[in-house]
Amino acid sequence: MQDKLIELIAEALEIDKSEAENDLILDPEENWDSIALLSVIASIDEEFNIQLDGDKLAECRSIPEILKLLEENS
Amino acid sequence: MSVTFLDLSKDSSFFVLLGSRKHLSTFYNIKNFFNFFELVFSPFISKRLFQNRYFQTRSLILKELKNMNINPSDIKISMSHNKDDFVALISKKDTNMAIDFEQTNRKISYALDVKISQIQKPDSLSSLGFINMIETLVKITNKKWFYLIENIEIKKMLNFKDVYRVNFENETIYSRFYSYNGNQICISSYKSEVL
Repeated sequence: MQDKLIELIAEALEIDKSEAENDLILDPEENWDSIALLSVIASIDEEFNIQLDGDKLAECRSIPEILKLLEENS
Repeated sequence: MSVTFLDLSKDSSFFVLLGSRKHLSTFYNIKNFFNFFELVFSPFISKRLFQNRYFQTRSLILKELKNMNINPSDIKISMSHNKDDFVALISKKDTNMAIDFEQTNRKISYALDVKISQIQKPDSLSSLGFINMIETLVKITNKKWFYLIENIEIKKMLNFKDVYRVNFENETIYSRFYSYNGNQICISSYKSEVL
């Protein structure tokens, strides 16, 4: 799940997968904007059939935090 | 550091300031110390003043408003940021308008594009335009994204270029699109200022 999530986030943030693997910080002032959030919500729904709460996802600042949110919702 | 003035209104009921974020300095410098106190005594006071982007963009807008002899207490401001730039919509206090903008070349993920294509909307409204529009509607209605997309009806206004009429909870909202310098700007209003 972690590997696929990194792939989805890299696509949403328009960055290389290697950048996403490397302690990526999700910053609302830089990369974690509304389109990135919506993209991640849609991709997670399609890939894992999990519907995430947008407000909770917006609070996540790293991929491990999103993984934790996924585990709570799966 | 300059801000571009965009006069998009036909009746001067609003205007837009566009600035670049790329050249903004960091929060902690002596000049910002004085700007901070100006903002504290302005309508921009907020706990978000400690966030770099909020502080820098509001400082700049306050300065521009001063140059134009506009009292910030007399107006309403809606703001939007993208990766490099920001826009501020300045309107009369009794209006309910909002702005959102995105870089025209911003990519939408395949999964999001598919989701949006399943929503009933005019063909002329792209996925990016749809997101742009909903972001403005979230701001003026104070409703959440997913509530809005389930409860709005969007129609293209045939006699106006790039204008859409949105029916929501027995009210009409007008949304208009503008292109500027590689950005797509959407402004929505409960009144017809944007027509």
